[in-house]
Amino acid sequence: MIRNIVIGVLAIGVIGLSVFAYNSNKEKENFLTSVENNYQRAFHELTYHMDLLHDHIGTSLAMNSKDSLSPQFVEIWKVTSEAKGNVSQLPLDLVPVHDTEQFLHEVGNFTYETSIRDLDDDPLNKEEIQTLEDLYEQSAEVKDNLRKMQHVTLNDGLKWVEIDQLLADGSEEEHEIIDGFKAVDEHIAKFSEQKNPLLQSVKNEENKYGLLKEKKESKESIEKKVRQLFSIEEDQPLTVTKSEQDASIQTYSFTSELDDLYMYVEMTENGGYPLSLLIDRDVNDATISLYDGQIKAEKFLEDFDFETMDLYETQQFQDVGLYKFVHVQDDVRIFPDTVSVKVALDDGEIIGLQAYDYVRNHHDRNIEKPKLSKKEAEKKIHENIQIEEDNLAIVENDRGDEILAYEFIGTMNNDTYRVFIDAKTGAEEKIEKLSNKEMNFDMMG
Amino acid sequence: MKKRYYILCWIVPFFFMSMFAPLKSDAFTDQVIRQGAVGEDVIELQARLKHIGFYSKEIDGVFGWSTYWALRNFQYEFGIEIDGMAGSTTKEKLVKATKYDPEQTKKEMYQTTNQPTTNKQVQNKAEVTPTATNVPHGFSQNDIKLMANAVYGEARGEPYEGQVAVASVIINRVKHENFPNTISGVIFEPRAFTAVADGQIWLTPNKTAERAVLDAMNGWDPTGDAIYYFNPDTATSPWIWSRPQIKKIGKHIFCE
Repeated sequence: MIRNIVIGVLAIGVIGLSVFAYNSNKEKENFLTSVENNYQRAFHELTYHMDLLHDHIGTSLAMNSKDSLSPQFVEIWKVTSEAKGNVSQLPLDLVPVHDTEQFLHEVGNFTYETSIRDLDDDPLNKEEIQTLEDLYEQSAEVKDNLRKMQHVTLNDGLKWVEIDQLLADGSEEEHEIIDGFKAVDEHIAKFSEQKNPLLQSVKNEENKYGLLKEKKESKESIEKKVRQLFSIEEDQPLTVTKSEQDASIQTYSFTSELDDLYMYVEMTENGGYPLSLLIDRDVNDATISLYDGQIKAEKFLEDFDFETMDLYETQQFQDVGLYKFVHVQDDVRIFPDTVSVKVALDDGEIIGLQAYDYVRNHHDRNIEKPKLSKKEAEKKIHENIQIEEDNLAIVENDRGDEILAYEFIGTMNNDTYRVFIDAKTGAEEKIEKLSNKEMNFDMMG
Repeated sequence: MKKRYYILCWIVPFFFMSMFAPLKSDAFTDQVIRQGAVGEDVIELQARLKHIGFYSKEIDGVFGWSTYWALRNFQYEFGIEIDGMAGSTTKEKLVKATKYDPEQTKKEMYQTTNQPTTNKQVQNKAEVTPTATNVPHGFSQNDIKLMANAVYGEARGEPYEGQVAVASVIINRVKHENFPNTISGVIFEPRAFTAVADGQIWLTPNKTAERAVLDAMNGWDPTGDAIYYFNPDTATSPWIWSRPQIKKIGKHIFCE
């Protein structure tokens, strides 16, 4: 009797367990399938987009009319962006698809730049047509390789989740898909070795490293400077780390832990300038105003020998004030030379400094007189913008060149805009909508 | 110009009215209110400027550009030095020329944002809380939350600058041509971050992670423009070692 009961209970247990195991296994499978399907979609779309890209480039080569050429370039640009989206959804980890992404970016950039140009006045030149022809050939190779891979994956039923698993375990095992992508990438790397200047966006770095031309200082002398600048006692230990060899700016970082705060200071090796300061601590309720904080920040910059700085933006984040300053030379605001300061509004302590741009760009500039008068520049602005404030300013354009411009701040339909007008050519160099606030979502019920 | 005279016509009777009205005791605190500020004083400032017709946007307690222009126009009309800041003279004139009823303002504020009055923050009757907040240029509070999750999942054991560094890498990737152009695109790129892959991103982040994200969004970048980082003890890919190294912060090596 008892034996039968025991058998019965065990039997129910076994059945229950197997139902449970079956269900959870089923669930896991469903889940894996849905993940796999997402990967599959991204991959098949990628092959399609690459095919389309190749066709579109080919078509553009055959086009004669300028009216159809510009839209075609826009189309190519769109396809590259979609293909990039596909690549970013594949679980490729660090399997280098770097060059593939770079290739897509370059094609997109080149066609975008050409599409916004007036091709009637400035038709494609020989080099540009040659570049298109090269891209046509290269995209053929990429698309063929991808189509071959697609064929293999479909035929052999290869799974992307397997790659995911392989990469997660860090195993060195070979996988056809990974090898396929590596091959594509190597191909592309080969073309980009023959650097085509038309495909590279070259930035003017001539004026960079303004303060970094000064001579190197020793670790000891910089540490001494840090202790003096931030009044750190001799017995307070400082941990020092030197930047690695490939850093574009060589620095020493110092960290120090006090009772209730943590301090991080980064100094340049050349010239020993403070690049960044971060103090992490709990900030209590504000007792001083944002305006009082501004005075502290200004005093701090003066003590640190930053030359004539103008406050151009301020924001309060809870109980911390953030102040952005721009350097002023001969009444011209030098926007490449900016510094930010953070002030804790509970006791007015400086808890952050950020001077990367200032250190990188600051130098004495030879500022020319503007060719356009202010009145002439104002006429270049949209007629509905009501101008409220203006300044002369130096800004960087897309190519990284510094240009003299009029900075206008004006309003239109309740919004505020900052417009830079080139003081030489009258070109509308940059327009920003100035808005840094948002409805507080935590306040909603 | 015409509009300004029109406003003056409104102002003059208010002047007379205010001469007889008893001065409210709950006027501004004695701080100088400047652009960028947040809080009750800003609410009062906006309410008063709105009352007198200089400010037309919603009262939200954040001193933004609209408040700035409204205040400057007020200063212009009242012959005060135009600096866009509410110092003692400006506040005095404002208090004289306008009325401020905190209860009424509160009602107005929470109505326009469709907020139920049962909200916990509104229950305290004496206090009027801003309905808006400052955010770093180009980011939303939700971006901050999402990134704080990622930073906490990836680097909660790291020193503070190491957490700012991880946030910086995310931002540097958004700007970089070879990566997706959105924060969520970068964070959720398959296999880009281990904390995303193993679900640690959904832990509740602490204040430190949030502060680190805010610093990174406001331009602090301890990595020197890095777009990759790895932990040398656990990195499995030989490829990552081939990247040019910029800096070592805590357990992570940051590279180009």
